[in-house]
Amino acid sequence: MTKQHQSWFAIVVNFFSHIKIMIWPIILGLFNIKNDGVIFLPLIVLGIFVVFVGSAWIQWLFFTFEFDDNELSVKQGIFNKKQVHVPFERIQTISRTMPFYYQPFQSVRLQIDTSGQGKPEVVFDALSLTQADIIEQKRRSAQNKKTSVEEIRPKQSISELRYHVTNRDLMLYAVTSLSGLGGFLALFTLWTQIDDILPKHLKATFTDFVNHQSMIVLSSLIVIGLFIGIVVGFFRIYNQYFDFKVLHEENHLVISRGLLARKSVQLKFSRIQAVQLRQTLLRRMVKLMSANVLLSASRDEDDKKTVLIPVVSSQKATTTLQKVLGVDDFDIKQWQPSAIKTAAWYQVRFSLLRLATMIVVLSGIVMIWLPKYWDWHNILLGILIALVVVVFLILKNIMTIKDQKIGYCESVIYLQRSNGLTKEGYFITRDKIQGLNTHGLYTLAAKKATHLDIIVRDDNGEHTIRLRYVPEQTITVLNKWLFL
Amino acid sequence: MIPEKATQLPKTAKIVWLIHDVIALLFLVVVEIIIYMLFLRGNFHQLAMMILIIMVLIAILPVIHMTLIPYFYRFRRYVIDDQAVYIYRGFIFRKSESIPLNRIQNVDTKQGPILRYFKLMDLSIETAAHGFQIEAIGEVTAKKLRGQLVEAALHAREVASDD
Repeated sequence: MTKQHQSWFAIVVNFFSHIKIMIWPIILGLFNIKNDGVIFLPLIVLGIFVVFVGSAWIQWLFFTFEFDDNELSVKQGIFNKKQVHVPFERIQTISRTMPFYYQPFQSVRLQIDTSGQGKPEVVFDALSLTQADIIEQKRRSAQNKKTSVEEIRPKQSISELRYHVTNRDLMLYAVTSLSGLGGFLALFTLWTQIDDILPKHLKATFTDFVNHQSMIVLSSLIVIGLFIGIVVGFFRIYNQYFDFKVLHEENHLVISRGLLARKSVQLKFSRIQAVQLRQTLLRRMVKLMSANVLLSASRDEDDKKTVLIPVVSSQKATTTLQKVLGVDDFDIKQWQPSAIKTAAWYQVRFSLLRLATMIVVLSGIVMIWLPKYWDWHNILLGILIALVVVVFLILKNIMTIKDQKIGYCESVIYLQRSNGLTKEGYFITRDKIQGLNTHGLYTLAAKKATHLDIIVRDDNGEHTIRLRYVPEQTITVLNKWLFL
Repeated sequence: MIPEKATQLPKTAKIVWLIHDVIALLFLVVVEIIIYMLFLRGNFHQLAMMILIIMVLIAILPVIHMTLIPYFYRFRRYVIDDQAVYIYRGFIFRKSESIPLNRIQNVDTKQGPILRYFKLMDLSIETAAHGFQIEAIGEVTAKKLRGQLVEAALHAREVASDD
């Protein structure tokens, strides 16, 4: 491996990036020079020029890189030295940009992204075309070597329909999505936002109208608003997922949907990081679920959260998923204790303690700063609201623990969690789990339990599945399974 | 529970953390003196007084950190075996992280002037989803670990094939 520098054009690029950062302070400084200082202006400009050129040259000098067949190493920094090592086979994307002013100098700007966390791992301000080609060539050979030994999935040469939404299912999905409520709230928010810019006479007419109506009329108006919101939401979902189809095509899933605008997304199986079964409170009542997939590095902004099955009955969820994905290993047999026996009590206690703290702080604020509101009527009303919240929190936290599940089969783990209202189940293959964290107070360790976070990739970041009060014994079993 | 085989950081890590805290404290004290000299000497400026009080309270943080250095040092350990990296932190607030070696995307080393003087390095490890750090480990160990981790990642049994 021999050390290399970027193209000399990088000095020019660095110089202009310094200018870009400092342009306003420089202009302001130059305009504020007093009359007797004008004679020094050329000297000041020359000084700035020399400093920036020097800085750009030093930056170029201390930015070196070298590579062999396996990895690229980049060293940068003068005082704070940074060394980055990028194995070629781990590179996710290489972005090459060649603005018009790079072209005469046969240079490119190259960004290398390995982690897919949004920011590139290495940025070359200006590489010669030859250097860029060699790096890309190295990456290609390293990754071809990898795919030649890796059997991703048996190939299917023809398209095969695996799922097609029925009209009844789509209507159920639209009705239970509650997006109409969201639409109504959005309209309300919009109204509060434009309230200030409306003409005065229009505002006055509206206020006058509202003030002169009875409660029944106002309630009816709200109901009508809600109804319109729900209808609009229903048609939005219906339009979006109309004729929803999932096809298998070689190593891809092809998802097509849409009434007014037809959209088709191709997903490589290897991009699927986890399959998420989701059930909102409303869908729990009617025993329906929807399935989404978490994907790695979405290039298309629209396919970040991809619906795989809009709606399916709870009993048929696993079998339908297996059919859609063409796998047969979602049959979870090894169920593990997912929470210690007293977990629900700890969860409720923690939540009530947090509520108690909030009540004490709120009462203190009212007593000190708003004493006129500290009377028996308001205290009674406060107690009543607190009691309702307490009952809600108790039920919600008991459900959170009750819904928690951990199980696995040979290569897939199933994790289920909920916030007491929405339940989420995840099927994750072993090789897609990025990390496993445990945390908790020392008192929890004495109870032989811990909180567990399982990390999977989602788009360009992480998705953490949080489970509470998991027995240490289960963690040991999971670790063994993970490192099989 | 931290396993007995877990590796402790070099003792010089304590000195590095202490120096970092002293620098932070000195910086805050200098800023506080400047605020006092510019706005509060001889007169009272309410906003400056509030900023000064906040700065004094912030200055307590490095002092607390200084006193807790032996605790941090005692309960910050790591294990690297042929399958995963494990990092352990804390006794009162316990935290452990396990990362399978074959999910590691890249391993970087970072070294500021203080770390360089004490021949220490920070080791940053990144997976496709998240990143974490083993702070202030010996320079030689860091380089060895880096090589070991990159090697292990390259020869992993299951290679994540993200496209």
